Amino acid sequence: MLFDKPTTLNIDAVLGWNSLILSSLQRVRQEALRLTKAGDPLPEDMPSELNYASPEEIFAYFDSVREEVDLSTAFVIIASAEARLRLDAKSRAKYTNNPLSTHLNKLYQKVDQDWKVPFKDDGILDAWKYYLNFHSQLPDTDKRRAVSLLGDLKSTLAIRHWIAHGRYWDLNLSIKSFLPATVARSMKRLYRQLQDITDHDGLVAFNPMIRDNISPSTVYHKVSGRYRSD
Amino acid sequence: MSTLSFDEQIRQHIKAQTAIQSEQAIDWNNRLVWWRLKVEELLSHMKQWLSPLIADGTIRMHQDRIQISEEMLGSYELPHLIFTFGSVALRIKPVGSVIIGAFGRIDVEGPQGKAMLILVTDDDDAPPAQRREQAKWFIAYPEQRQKLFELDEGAFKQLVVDLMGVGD
Repeated sequence: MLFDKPTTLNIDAVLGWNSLILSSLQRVRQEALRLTKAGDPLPEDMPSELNYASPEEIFAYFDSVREEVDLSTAFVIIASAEARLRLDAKSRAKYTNNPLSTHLNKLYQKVDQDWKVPFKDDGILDAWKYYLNFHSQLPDTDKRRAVSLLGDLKSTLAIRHWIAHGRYWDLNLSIKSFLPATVARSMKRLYRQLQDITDHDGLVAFNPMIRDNISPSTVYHKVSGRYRSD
Repeated sequence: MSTLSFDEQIRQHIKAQTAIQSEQAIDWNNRLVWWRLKVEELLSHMKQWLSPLIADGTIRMHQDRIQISEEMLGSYELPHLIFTFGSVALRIKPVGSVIIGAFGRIDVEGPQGKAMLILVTDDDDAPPAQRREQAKWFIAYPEQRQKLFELDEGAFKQLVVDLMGVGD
């Protein structure tokens, strides 16, 4: 599978997958529009919702499918950000030689299972924020930027929860603010910022196993105890 | 440079040319005349089917005209019917002729839901050129579009009962 491990959830690969689906959608939409003129029956591989659809309805249908694809893409990117930060936090929590690791270590000590460590409030994101506000040696402007990017991730998590829990409440946010490219840009900025913090303060580098701007074919991941290339 | 193989490029080109030729082969003026006739014919049947209740004032009927714009047929007007039963209405609204899988559609909307009247042939083996000639009116429902029910006086009256919620 393309994204079977958190390490293969490379943002650019996810965006590539999104654009592949969107360009395929465009071709199917063209074919659907052609069918209206030909009077041919709806082929079996097209959804029955398109049966007897006018061109306006075809455009509306494909627009809504596109929105769903974009939403799923944004979801994958946001969820992978949580996975990255959790994996990073877990490995950092093994040590107590700096305030960030000590803070994370305490969070992991309190729980019997890793997933019970809160991610957002009083959890991993707040541990980073606390470290930035009280211990980091970064210049103030960089600290403020990093705190703001962590805040962006917190607000982005609202849409991740909304999708993951089946959208059973009204979302007080516009879906249009969570286009894949926007979410990807924001996550990449956050990763870069976290890398800058760890580099600057001499901490273990932020999640060195997962790097962006590399293609899935060059991502190595652990399978049955040995590394292999996809 | 295209990433498609030579064979695939030729196949796609021929397919696109055939599609253009078949579009050009359709006499769209003739299609519009035929479509108008089909809609007017069906609406006049509906009026006739409900005429006893219209005549004694149980059902009020209002006929208007709506503007439809379709890429291949241009802009044209068709009649649009509203049957009022007490305080609720049943709207019969032509949607267009250039749709997927059929030669025309009229939507029927009442307080209990919506149905589509589809002009299509039920003979899957009919050659493309004869499909339009053989087209008849069927009822389909938006949530169950694969199933078609032939439209006749009885089916129409049942549709009216269902969409108006008569007896609920």
